[in-house]
Amino acid sequence: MDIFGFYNLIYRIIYIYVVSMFLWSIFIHKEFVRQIGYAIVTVPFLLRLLGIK
Amino acid sequence: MADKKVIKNGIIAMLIVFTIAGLASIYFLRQRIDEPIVAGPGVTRIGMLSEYFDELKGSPVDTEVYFLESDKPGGTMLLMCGTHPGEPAGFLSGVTAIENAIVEAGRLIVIPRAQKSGFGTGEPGRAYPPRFHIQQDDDNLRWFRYGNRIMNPVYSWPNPTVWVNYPSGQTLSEGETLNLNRAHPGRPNGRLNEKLSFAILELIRKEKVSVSIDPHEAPPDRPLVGSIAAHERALDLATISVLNMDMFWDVNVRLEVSPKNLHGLSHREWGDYTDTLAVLIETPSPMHGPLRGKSTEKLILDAIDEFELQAGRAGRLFMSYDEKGYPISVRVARQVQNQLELANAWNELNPGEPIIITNMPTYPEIVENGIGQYLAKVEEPEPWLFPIPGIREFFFNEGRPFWGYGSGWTYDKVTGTRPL
Repeated sequence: MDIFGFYNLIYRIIYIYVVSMFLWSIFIHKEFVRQIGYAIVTVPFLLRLLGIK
Repeated sequence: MADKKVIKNGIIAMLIVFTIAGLASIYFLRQRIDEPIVAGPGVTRIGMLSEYFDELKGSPVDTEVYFLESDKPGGTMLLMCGTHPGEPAGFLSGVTAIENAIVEAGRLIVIPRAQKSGFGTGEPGRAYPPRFHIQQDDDNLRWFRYGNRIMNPVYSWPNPTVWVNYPSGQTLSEGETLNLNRAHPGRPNGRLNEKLSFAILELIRKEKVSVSIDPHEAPPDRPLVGSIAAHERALDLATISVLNMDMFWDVNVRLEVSPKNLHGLSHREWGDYTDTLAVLIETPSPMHGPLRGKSTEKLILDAIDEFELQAGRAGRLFMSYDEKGYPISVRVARQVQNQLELANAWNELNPGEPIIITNMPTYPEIVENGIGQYLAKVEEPEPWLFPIPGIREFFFNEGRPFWGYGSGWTYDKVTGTRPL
């Protein structure tokens, strides 16, 4: 792995953390609107993690 | 601990969003299906760019290289199209050469999709149509993708805050990190984009390419539009081609000398780091510029834009521009004819190493008959793009969301006046 691959790995770890926190937030907030909001902001991070967009 | 209702709502929220994300993912992934390119009578071999740099093998940026070779020795011309997948006339000029050209002396090497992964993604926030279509005979349509200006970012992230070109040290904004035409001459141990650039330079060096052409498009409000930019060693070549374009075809192409202190560009670095004569050709297309209105398939094909027209009336454009716009056939015709004139100029200057390309349509033929007439017929139907047909058009019809954000009629309702 070169230095750029290493940066990518670090960012992937950060993104996994962010996605996990968003998913956790969906289940600790009681208002449905907030739950939808957290679910929506999860999507772009998830798509990047999966290598789709 | 959350109660049952919260968990139930949370699962519903996730399902709603994952369904939308899943459908969007299918759409994004199917954008990566390559449009067909038919190897014409002159193609002798189809190789891959990774043959010149092993590290690209199996990577998403590895791309096809078409060889059109003659038995008679001569010079070698490289046509590297698709540096910017959002500039379709350059790409189509390469496809026209692959599907038509026959080389009588020397060699022609065509890379139709230099930044291949860029064809499989759009540019965020610009509402590009994913595909455009060229009319052929009767009901035949050829489909092509309209891509991003840069490499698909999923293959190389994160970007640095400032992009530093190697080895010049020139700094540019983060957005240029994945731009192939800012990465030259590349390096074997750099980012993926630099490795791609390095592989192209290796091809130029190993194949001893005499003339290298990088076809592009520029919005009419950009200074380089309608010009040919040439490395100082390629000035004689470019000058003869410009004169011939004017004298024989009545097409005005402006000659620009590649600036010595502007690095990362093909016409500068190919000339500096290899023995090739490097030129870049620009035709007008408002689609990827800052001034244009709605980004529609029509705008790709006819290049008629009301905002560019206003800029033209205000004297802010760098080439003539009127209500006729620049249809795709005219733009491809300019590219094709200029490339042929560069070969003719090379032959004039180097009669001992000719590059003779035949069976190509001329400028007036393409303008009159349309570029579709000179593209091969493809039997296989266009692959579907979105799992629910028509839903994209319903929500984002021609770059305009159905709720009217950014559209003319919202403006009308508020002010009672016609939009610009």
